[in-house]
Amino acid sequence: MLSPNSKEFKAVEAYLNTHFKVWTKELVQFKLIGSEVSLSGTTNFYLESEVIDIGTELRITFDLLMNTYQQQQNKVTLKHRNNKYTETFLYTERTQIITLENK
Amino acid sequence: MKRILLLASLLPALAFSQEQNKFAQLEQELPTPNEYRNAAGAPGHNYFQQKADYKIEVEIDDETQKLTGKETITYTNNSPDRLEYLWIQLDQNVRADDSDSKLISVERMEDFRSIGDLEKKMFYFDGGFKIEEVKTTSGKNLSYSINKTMLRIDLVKPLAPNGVISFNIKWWYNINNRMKVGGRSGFEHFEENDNYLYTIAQWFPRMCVYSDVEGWQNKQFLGRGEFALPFGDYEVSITVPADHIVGSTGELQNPNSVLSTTQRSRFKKAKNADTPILIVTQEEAETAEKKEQEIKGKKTWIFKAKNVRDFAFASSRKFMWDAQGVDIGGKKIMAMSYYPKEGNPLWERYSTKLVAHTLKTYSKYTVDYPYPVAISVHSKWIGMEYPMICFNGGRPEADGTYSKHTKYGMWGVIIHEVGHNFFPMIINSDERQWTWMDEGLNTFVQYLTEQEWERGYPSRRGPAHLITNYMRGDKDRISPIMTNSESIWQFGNNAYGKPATALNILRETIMGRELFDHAFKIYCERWKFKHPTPADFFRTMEDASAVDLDWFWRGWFYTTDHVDISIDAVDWFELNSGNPTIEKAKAKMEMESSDEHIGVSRNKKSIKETVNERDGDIDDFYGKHDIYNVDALDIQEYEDFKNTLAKAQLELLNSGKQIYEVTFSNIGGLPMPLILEFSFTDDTREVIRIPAEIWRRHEQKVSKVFVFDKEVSSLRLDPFLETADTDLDNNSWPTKKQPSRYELFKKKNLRENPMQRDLRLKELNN
Repeated sequence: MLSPNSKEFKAVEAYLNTHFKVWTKELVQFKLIGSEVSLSGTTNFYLESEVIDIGTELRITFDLLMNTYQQQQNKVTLKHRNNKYTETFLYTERTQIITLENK
Repeated sequence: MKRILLLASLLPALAFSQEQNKFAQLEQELPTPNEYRNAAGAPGHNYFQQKADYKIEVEIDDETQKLTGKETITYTNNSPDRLEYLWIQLDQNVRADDSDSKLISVERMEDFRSIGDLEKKMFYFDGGFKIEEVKTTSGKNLSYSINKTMLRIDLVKPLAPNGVISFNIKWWYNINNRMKVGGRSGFEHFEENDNYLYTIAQWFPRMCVYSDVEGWQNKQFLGRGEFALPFGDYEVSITVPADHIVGSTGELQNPNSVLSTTQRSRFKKAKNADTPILIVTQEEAETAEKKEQEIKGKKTWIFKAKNVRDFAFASSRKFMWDAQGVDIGGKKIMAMSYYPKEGNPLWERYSTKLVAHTLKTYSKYTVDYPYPVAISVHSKWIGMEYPMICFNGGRPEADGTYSKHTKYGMWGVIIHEVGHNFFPMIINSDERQWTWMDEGLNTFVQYLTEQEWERGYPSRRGPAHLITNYMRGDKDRISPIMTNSESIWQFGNNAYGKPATALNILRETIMGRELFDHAFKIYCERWKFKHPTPADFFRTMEDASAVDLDWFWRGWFYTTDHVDISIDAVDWFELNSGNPTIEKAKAKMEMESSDEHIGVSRNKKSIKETVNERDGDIDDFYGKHDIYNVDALDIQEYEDFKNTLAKAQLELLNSGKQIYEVTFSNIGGLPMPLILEFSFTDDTREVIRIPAEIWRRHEQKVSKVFVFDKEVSSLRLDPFLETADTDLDNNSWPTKKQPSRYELFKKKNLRENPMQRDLRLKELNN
């Protein structure tokens, strides 16, 4: 696990913020709060934003690792109220829009 | 909400079948059984396969990193067909200048962001086989033609059934720098002391498979779909610098001329040792690599291998070498490792022990390991398999430390690549066509082997819940498992992870361990040293177990559906006993305990007296009648009703059974068993397993009625994470959302690193 004060932590945070962007009315600022590496091969990064007005539509660009691996497939699963939305991001489709149902 | 169920309402529900296909038998998809492959999934009574024997002389020039070879191939036509031509594979041509592999890789301008990216694209390497001659054994030129990675020899006279032909080929090629050009084989250069470590494979022109399924399997080698090779016997003479140590497929024939007396005596000791014995120590290897007492000249190592489908070797003066005898099926097998000092401390400690463990575990689940040696060679980054020998990554840092990931990565890759001896080196499927048949089956047994190596081993692939993120992905970028190797999206998940998971699910959930293990072993026994196809596997697993698996193969192997089954509704019923004494009292109690409107409660206090309370003449029959009172007529009617029931029916009626109707939807499309865990109000639990066939006529929605003595407090679907259900939020009643990883992370308060935590601990202890 990276220490929050380390150079590496800041670099990862910057990289994540470059390749995972969420817009509501404006760009959401994320802060990396930590990470976990599991031995089964998964690494989890945890990002947090200030409280925001989520509105009705989210525009998400998620092209993490795609410059290195063209076949990289990213997924966002959004839980909002009782609904769950999943979007997939590909090399050719790096931006997706999620329209929220207000129920 | 509980409902009271009147006996009269217990009407049979009529089920209307709709057109279904998820449980349709696979007959149309599978090839028609015939005399070569029968309907039970076994080799048919006229099964045949070709034989290719090789006698090869090869030399590595350590100055130029060039490999030169000549071979005599003796090819036996066991087929019923006359062969006008023979096809030979030239795999090195995948690195030739005119290779299709380079042309067909998709590129976009965004890929070239730096001069380095462009340099990589422009990098020129003079790769590929340079064929010098193809001749008869009497020295006459044979007519041949090269089509990229395939070479066709046109025979003067067709090779008749049972005919045998021998011919010679001479060639050379430049060995690729694996660290620059990549590849399954090649060399790694070590700047310190200027040394090379060669891992050599796909190094000689090799016969294609001619079979009842493909004819000649001469599908071009594009780089991903691996190899299809016939079995045969090999005698290979490998000439390398005299101070090199060679590890190879087969058994060393001339130890006296290539090994020192000390090495031979250590090797002998290793045979009966219960822990690896060093034949070349680190000190000796380090002395050799410094080249201080350089031994000039060359040595020729001679190896023989029987009934193998390929031949590979490794050579370097940097090699340490250790070995340990393993007893399998009454035979002594030498588990061995070759590694440079850069592999230590990991390699000396673990590699050979992992080889030995892998041989034992795989022999238990598949077939007894049939070869005399099994070797793990350390080569940075990759993992690649050949008969009796494999090249594996897992390199510690230069300072001798290593991360947990490096350790588990090394353990996993060694188990996996040694495991490939069984799939596809022995149970020899066509890798060019189907990656999953060796990678998937191998990854499955790898999982079993890892779990026997260390309790709780963090296996990357095998457990059902680890495949769910892949399976719920964008279906445009997921291929069915039954897809040719070259066309697969998400290779690792598709050909390794998903089939390994599917087999694990068959073993744990659909078939059970006993039936699965028996059928899987039958498949391995039937097809060892033969060429099985997917249909042979599918059929054998059914035939040996009496479990209809067509729906499972159809869903998991032929579609990209995923598993998402939801609990839609739970309706609770209780039987009405019909006994007025019981039922009226119960009704009264329910009425009295029911919620009361606020006006009624307030009026009880604020209205001191109502008119009917004051004037006794207001209440008539209805006003005075107590509907909860049990009168003689009620009793009489109940007695009459009881007389219509048999004793057992009456007992059931009075049993107080709790009845639940549960409705499920199949959202993901893959039919799977319903594994249900009911928890009761008395804190007990019961697990009920309903086979997947419940979906056979109702593919989208099913319901089931459960009868218990006790009241159910909650219900979970797939509580042991065994079906790869991709959404666990809809698996509970009452609804219980899974906490997200984020919530769990916050709960764990992991904002500090382990060392910071350690500091806190020290402060606490002070």
